[in-house]
Amino acid sequence: MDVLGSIDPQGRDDDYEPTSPWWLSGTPLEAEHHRLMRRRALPIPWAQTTAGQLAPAERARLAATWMRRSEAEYLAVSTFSVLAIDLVAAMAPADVLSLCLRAGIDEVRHAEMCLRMAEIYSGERHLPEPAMSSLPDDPERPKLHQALANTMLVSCVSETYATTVLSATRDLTTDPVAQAVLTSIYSDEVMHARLGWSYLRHAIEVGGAGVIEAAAQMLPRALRGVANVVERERPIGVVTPAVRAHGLMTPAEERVIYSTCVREVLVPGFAALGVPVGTALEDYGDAWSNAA
Amino acid sequence: MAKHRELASIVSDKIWRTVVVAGAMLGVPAVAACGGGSKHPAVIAPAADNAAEPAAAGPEAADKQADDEAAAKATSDKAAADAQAVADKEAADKAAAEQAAKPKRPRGGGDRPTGRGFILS
Repeated sequence: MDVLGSIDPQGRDDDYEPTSPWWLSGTPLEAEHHRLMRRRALPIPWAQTTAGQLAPAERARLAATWMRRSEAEYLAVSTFSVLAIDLVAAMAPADVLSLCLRAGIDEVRHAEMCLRMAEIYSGERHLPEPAMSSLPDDPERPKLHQALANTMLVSCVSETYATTVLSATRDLTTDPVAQAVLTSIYSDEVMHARLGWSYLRHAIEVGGAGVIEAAAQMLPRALRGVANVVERERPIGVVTPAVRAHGLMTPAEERVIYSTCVREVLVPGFAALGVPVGTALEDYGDAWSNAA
Repeated sequence: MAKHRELASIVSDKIWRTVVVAGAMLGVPAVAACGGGSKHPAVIAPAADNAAEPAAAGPEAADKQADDEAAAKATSDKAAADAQAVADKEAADKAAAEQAAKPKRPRGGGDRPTGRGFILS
């Protein structure tokens, strides 16, 4: 089936190809989906994968991690959707809303790419496990504080950390397909992270001291939320040098990245905006970093 | 691992500049940065009531004044009715909002907040 056949040639891009067409609905919606996906797509040289050079155990390790990544990206679709609800309730500016909603579309594309990566290593097609955003919800608090707190969790902390870890692992990845996929995701995550810092700045300017206090209260929860991801158990299998070349790090290395990100990116950023950072440096310092 | 720590610092420095400094516009004065209040629509003050015209002299003027007062009373009664309707609507809206606030928005059920992160390994 020529899924691009009905798309206006004006927007066609010779570098674009459907990523995981087996996951789509089989309805006319597919054409518009491809239009959305193509809009920010970087070319991925899918045919150049070096997965065939890996041992079966290495491919299994990579398939498991890329499958987890697809589930995390799929979950992020609901995360940005719920965040958009909070931002609308807080009457966030239009550019904040549009970028938040676009981030959800970006996450759909990321989930598709990660599914295809899992398929490359396993030869199997599986859907991501269903999951829903677990963003905190407190109807008693002011809408601005609710939106700000969840923006901090999702964007300022989680997405900023994601850009850091993606950038680091991309620099160590030599497989051309994995490298291109990580680059594509990274390029989107930079904007997802900036969204949070810009909204935090905006919220502080319009909301004053109450916003600062709400941000300070959220910060330890947001940092802990990402730490929960970093500390989570990993799929079975050794991260060999060959596996690393396809975009993986060890849990110990990931802790170093997070600890450094907290110390050199997150804490200075919040401090520069006047948000008290509490014990963040101590909580995620060397002791935490070396605990793996 | 020392080399990895060095890589972590190099990457963090890049993210600090491209994400945090750029996103939060650090180093840019607050009002200039986001347009401050200047880009926000000005609050339009409600128009002041027209000053009452001076009463005219004579019977015709008295009749006119009576008519005006009757009209004013009718307007006042209507305004009171309108105000009551608005108050009733606000009370109904508030009750509806409270009712709507009871069920939680669609969110996951976990008590343990989980960051978005990026599953790395």
